Amino acid sequence: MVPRETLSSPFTVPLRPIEKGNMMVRHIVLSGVLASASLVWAADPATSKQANPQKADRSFGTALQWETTIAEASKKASRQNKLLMVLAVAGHFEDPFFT
Amino acid sequence: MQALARPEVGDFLTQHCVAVYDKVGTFKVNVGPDGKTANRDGGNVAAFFCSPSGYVIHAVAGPRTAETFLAEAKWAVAAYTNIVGKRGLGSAAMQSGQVPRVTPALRQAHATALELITKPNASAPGLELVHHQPSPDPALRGIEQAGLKQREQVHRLLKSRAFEPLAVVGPEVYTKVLGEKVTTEAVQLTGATEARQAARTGQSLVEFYNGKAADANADKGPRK
Repeated sequence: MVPRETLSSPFTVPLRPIEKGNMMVRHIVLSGVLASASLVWAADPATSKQANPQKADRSFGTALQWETTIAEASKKASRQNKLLMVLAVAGHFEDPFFT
Repeated sequence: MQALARPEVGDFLTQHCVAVYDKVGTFKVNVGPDGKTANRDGGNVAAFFCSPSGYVIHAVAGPRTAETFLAEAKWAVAAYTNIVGKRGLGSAAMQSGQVPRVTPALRQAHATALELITKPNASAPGLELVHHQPSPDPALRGIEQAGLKQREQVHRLLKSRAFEPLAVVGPEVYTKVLGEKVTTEAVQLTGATEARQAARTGQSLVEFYNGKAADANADKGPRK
């Protein structure tokens, strides 16, 4: 189960500034991505699979996959030239009993 | 939302959107003495279609059938694609300075959709995304009618507020259209001891039942 504190609220947290054309922000983000990529490549292959949340099934009973955070979803949507769909729920989406 | 479990809905959303969810509200649930029967009070759902940087294109407020949800998703994608395409803008690479070029057209699209709902015009383009085929299941007609009213409210709101940030429009939709409050409060559980225990330990109820069954009552199998 995803820790709740990793999910930023779409209603209270301003969305990322990356599309405002700020080259400094782009540079920092790119550096971060590259650094993360280096860590992934350097990791023990036996553990890297567990450390990669992208591999996990995140459909939660639906016919699509869900990103972990709105920041990740926003970046991915921008990269893939797609829209961002934010589902605002009253309960805990991961657990149908509480959704 | 049951609609999200349908393959045609999943395929369309996967092709055109990146999906993410968040808990913005709460509800109460009372679990019956059997530990399974749940009576819920409150709680609702809304799907916001946004640009990658979080400007609201459309909102689907409240539950929908698969058919109506798909129609609204298609409306959002078509409206936005059409607007940015005509202006030679990349749908994802939206610069903040280009927002004013999109906003009036998107608000006009909401005004047009609202007019089509209230005064259907058979020759209007895109009518099928506003007035779609009713569900074959008569049991779903109530949801469809409620959904159409909620859609009308959303178009009425967004004809003057579309393409504002989600942090601004989201609470408006959630509180004014759905009548819910935005809160970080946990879901309130009352009723069966097991449900309260599950909430206290942070387990899901299914996990709790499975664990309990394995520990204490293996011969009866897991309770769900």
